[in-house]
Amino acid sequence: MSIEIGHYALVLALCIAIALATLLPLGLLGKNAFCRHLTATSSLARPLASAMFILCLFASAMLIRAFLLSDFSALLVWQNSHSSKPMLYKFAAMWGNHEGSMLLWVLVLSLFAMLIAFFTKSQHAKQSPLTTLTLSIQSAICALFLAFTLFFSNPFARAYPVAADGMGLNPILQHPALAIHPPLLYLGYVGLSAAFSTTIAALILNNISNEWARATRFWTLLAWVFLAAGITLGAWWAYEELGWGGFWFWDPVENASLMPWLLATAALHALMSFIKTARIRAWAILLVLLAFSASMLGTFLVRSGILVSVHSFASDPLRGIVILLCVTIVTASALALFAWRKNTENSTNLKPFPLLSREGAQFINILLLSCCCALVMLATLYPLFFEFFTKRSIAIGPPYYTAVLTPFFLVIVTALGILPALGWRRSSRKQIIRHASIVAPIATGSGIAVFLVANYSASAAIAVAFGIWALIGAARTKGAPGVACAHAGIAILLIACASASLNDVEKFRTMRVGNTITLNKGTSSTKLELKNIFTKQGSNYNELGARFQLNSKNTLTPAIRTYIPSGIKTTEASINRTILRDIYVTIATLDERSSDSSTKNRDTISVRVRKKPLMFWVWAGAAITIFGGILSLIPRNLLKRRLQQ
Amino acid sequence: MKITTRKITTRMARRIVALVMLITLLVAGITLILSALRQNIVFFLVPSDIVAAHITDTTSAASEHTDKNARKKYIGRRVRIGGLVVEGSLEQDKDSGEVQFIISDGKAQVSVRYLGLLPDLFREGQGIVAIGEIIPPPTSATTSSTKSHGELVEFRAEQVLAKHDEYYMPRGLEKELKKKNLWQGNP
Repeated sequence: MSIEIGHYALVLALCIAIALATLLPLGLLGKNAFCRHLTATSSLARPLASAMFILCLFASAMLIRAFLLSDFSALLVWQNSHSSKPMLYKFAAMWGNHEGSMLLWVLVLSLFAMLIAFFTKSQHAKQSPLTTLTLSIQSAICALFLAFTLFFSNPFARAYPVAADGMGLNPILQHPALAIHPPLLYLGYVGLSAAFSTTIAALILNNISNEWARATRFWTLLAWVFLAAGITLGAWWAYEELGWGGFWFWDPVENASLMPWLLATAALHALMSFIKTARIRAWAILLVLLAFSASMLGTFLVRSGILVSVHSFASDPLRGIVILLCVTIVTASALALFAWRKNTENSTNLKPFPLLSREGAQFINILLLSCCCALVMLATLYPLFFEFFTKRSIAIGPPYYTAVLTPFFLVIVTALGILPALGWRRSSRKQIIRHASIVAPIATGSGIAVFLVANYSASAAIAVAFGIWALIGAARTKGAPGVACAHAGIAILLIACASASLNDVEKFRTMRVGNTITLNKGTSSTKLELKNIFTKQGSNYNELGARFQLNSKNTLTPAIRTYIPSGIKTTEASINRTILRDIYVTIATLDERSSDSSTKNRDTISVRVRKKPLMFWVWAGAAITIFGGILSLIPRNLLKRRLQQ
Repeated sequence: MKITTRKITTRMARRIVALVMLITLLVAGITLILSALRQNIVFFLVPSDIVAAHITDTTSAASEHTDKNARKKYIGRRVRIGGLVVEGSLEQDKDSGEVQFIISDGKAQVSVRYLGLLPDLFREGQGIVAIGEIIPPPTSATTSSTKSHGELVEFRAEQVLAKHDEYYMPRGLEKELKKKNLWQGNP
């Protein structure tokens, strides 16, 4: 019964979304009392938007209830859950599949619709037309995706006959990070829709004002923070859970989340320039529109299953085509509106700004970030076109990304480093030279130092030098703590990623109890002794583990888990972490893989050990960047007041 | 008058120089990007593709130019191969830990060597994808008989991927098998 009520709530939400999308613009057109009544926030917009969100929330709650109670008469629960699963993962199973994740997408869309409805300054009794129209457009997007969810991927379908137990969630997905990774990522993806709606509304009203820029910056920044947190958690999950030993694989699904982030970053810089100097206007509009389009494209790529990816989710061709259609309609109409407005706009003749100024540096940054996004997109979609024309399946190897993106990124980082010497609208060559003459020798020195002392490769040392250059630049940035923080995070990320991926050591061998494995890099060496091999029972899995002695204090216990309902195995990596390096151990046996009984001996295991320098700082850098974003979200005067107290 | 025309021509000249520089930079950039893309293309093959390319190599005199391009394309560069692991073919070298197994697409077989941890879902009889290089065939025909798996083509894997969960094949593999009518549904 609750399943049907949830379904019904979703249908009601669709009706409200359509009503909001059509009634609000009607209210804007007319001048009589009825129309004014329609646009007043208190009478229509706020209650309806809240109702839409509450109905979507209720529908999601009904689905989660079915998961928690293991109601296998619901098709989705039967396919993705199992009665023996821990509670947290029953809860998270709701969005671990296509239908549930579409419901989550819609839920977040309606959440942002409600936030828009309440996002009006308290001193204005009447809502501005911009906010009203924004809400209407947000509701239209809501209606589109609600209709898709209801007609093409209904999460409330029933299964008959009812099965005794479910098919279980893919155990790879059984990790606390996964319980919050999709909601965070979706808050980021869909948060961009609020910025998109605001921009479309401003374009329709032909009023690209500071009000638009401030509202758009707020939504973009909010989405950017969530997107960054989601991407970081995904990387963390790959590193901790999948046991692949890396954190970024240039997989199409990862690229799909990186592209909107790159565009949102560029959009934030463009919006900042627009607010401060009224320049880079067209770029700001275009980037906001493209950022949400990229996040929809990302959803399409991930959810349609057309990409050859290690992540490959559901593959239903009809759904893919319908999502592609939705994405095309939204993107094409947005870009057409932009082109039309750009054409009719009376171009005020502004003087070209100097390249050696903040807006100049930001313009370079915007241009290069857009290029980076285009290059990632080219490589992500290239296999699809290649296969379409030549009927051959291909993939693009990771070396492409490092080769192509590195030069762009180094220029971006260079621009980031001279930021404190630049001012808005003005250029002072003397100041730049002074700043560079202090920082450049320090950066070069540290690059040479790690090359000589820490046995870094030349390319890793160059990356460290650029990172130090940017880090000092970020530290000297005054007046904007959020910006300084985010930039410092990026600089730390550059240094840490270069160290962890260019300067790591790895060893693989088979071991018996008592054997030792040694990692050598330059003068430093790490020794691991295999103490014993053990078995353990978990809540819904059996574990075969191995205990390694690293030094007198620390042991490492990597394991292989066999999950009971499905018999699926997962590798549990064991990591010894200090701020200077991670020691990462994974094990495997040939047990049960082979029909040949001679390989079934339990005293020998295969061991892979990796040493990743500065791996801790990859996570710390990402966290600092995200913190910078949060800091920028807080209004400046509020922050100042707090600091003075 | 003369001065102004000269001014205009120098301005035009400057613009033309800037434009030419911009176009050159753009062309150079695009060329570099496309070449990076081409160099990093990783083809997806099934054992019959590899064996076909291999046979043309060892008996190059017989089949003159059939699939010669294919051979050039595949040998000595990174490719992905996909197939089902043949039952009872998985072996491990006790000292180095290197594993060796045979993958098949129903028509042809390839022997895969891999130094590393097999993925969690790797089983005999199931579909896998390996990324690596085809080991170039020995130059003289006599040495080929000493190979451990008879006459099989050998492949050195850097990375082995298995089915992501119990319902899905690696996507490329399923598609390739369907194309060759070797697909028998989910096992």
